[in-house]
Amino acid sequence: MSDDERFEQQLRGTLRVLADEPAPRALVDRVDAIPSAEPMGVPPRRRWSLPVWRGAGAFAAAALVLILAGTLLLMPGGFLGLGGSSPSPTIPPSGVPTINPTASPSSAPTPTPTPTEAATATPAPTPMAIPTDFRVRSATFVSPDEGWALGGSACGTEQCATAIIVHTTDGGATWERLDAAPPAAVLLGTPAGGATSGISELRFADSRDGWAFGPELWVTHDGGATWQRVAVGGLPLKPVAALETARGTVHAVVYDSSGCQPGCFRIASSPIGSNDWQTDAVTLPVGSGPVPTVQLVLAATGGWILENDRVVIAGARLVNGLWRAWQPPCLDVNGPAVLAASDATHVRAACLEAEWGPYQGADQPSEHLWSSTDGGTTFTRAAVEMPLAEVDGLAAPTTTSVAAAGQGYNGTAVIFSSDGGRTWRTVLNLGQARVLYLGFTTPTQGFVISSSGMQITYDAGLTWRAVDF
Amino acid sequence: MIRVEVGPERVVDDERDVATAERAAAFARLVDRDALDHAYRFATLMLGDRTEAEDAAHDAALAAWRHLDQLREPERFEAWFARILSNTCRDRLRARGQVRVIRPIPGVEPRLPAAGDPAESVVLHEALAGALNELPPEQREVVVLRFFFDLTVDQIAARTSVRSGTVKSRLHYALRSLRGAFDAASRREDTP
Repeated sequence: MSDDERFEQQLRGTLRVLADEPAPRALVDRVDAIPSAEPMGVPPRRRWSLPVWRGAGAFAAAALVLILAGTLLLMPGGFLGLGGSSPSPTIPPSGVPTINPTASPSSAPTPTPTPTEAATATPAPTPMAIPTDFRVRSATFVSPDEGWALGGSACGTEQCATAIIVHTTDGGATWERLDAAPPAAVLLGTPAGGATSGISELRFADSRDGWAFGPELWVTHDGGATWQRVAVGGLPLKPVAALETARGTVHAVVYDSSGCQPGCFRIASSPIGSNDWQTDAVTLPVGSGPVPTVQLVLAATGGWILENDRVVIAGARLVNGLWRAWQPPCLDVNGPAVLAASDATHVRAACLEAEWGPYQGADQPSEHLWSSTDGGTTFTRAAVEMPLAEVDGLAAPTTTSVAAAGQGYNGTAVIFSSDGGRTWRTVLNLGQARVLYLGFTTPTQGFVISSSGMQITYDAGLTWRAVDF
Repeated sequence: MIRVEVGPERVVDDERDVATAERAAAFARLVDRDALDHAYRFATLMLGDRTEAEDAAHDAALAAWRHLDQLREPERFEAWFARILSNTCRDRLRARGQVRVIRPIPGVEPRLPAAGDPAESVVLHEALAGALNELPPEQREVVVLRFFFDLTVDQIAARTSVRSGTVKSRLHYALRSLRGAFDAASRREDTP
């Protein structure tokens, strides 16, 4: 073989290696959904006067960096099914109950028109009104434009009696109520001790497939028109503590009180279009504290699970599609950590050091950012202290920018760093609200949900707008 | 021209409906056939990032759908979409000013081409991947179309809307850069 032939063979081989994967299922689904979600031949709408991130596209990956802190209270004889039974509908082994939308002629869902049918312009039914007392609890976006929010009406201090899901196709400028929602209470904060039912979080993978969970698990495969209560394979009715979706797969972290002692978190995964949950062999043992919490973070091909129980306890990492035990950062800092990732290699952790004991000679708690550029194998601690007393939400919109939300020294705040945590600036004050969620859909579009509502930014935190439902 | 009454206030030309249906059917081929696979692989090689490639392919599909009324010849949808995808990738490259290297998955050995000593293949593969990463988008595109999709120079010219001579020129400079990296890596391998 001549040098030229050897070179060409190597070049062709290198190209084959670099592009060895076919189009992922998620992409096929997203493209397949375009005709039913978009009118043909209509240019994109402009919304508000705020800058729109035209890089578009990265929404799918960026959405995955949103972190979820699923908090589970371990009260003696109480929550997490420790010997208790669920008051929720019993799931028969052969199937699951299907919840249909409100059966009134005026609210029946209209079949999505095909492109050729669109010309007939059948009048759409008037959507159900969003109640004036709607309180948002969770939100999820599959693109800069399309998203859903879970909330409720008739709310008390801890939960709302009626779950409501609303949908936006213009980046949050306007919302419409879906006809259906899981018939479950919406938990407004950390599930209270003794609670065994309800939902608190919402995720969608695309325009059709979504999950409402925490601790119950409900799924839709028709864009929210119908919802089914489902059980994770082999773990019926176990509380779902965290759930995220990426690259055609949905991953869930489930608390198991009976299969391991004194209890553990198990990981289960399913293709997004089905309910074929497979439980992984990896388990995360609970710690000795009373409040085990677990976070699930997915970014590109990477995935991480971190468990806190007062302090960092254990972790797992998704490598080549398989979950493996992982040594998370800040195991020795005597405090909890919050994770975020911008891609498969850049991982961040906000670690509350010295909360439950001294760390490096200091006994005054302080938040520090720890960063990894090798997918979480090693972390480097930032010397500068984060200007928050306690971080409740962390997001990594890009490899260099980081946003954090939590209790500041003068109230609740969102802070932002564009230099990897070396410097921080406060970008949003939330009074005395309690942060429930912080995430970014794109490098510039993000939102925070707190007990005072939902705020959204389109300029990387420079300005924020309260979402009006 | 036949006009069909579809409502008290709306009249639709059935010829226009037929054209719309043909365009929609052309778009559907993007999912039904392996066109989306090709698009995804092309975007992966252009952008060097699988996640961004997925988004670029989706963005191109969305742009195609939104401008489908501008497609005069539905039978040429694939070529039309290929140009949209190419422009989408170039826009993304321009926006970020560089091409990323496709990151290997930790702990997973790449499925390398069987060309002699496997150890040598790894070195040469990395050298070529790195050099490919450094090529300007226009040169990278012709290399991908020529050596991955096996298009001829004339086919590449038609697809990229440039003259065949321009394609040859871009290939020449691209291969010179790649060959330089390949030869340098080969020499390093030969050095004891």
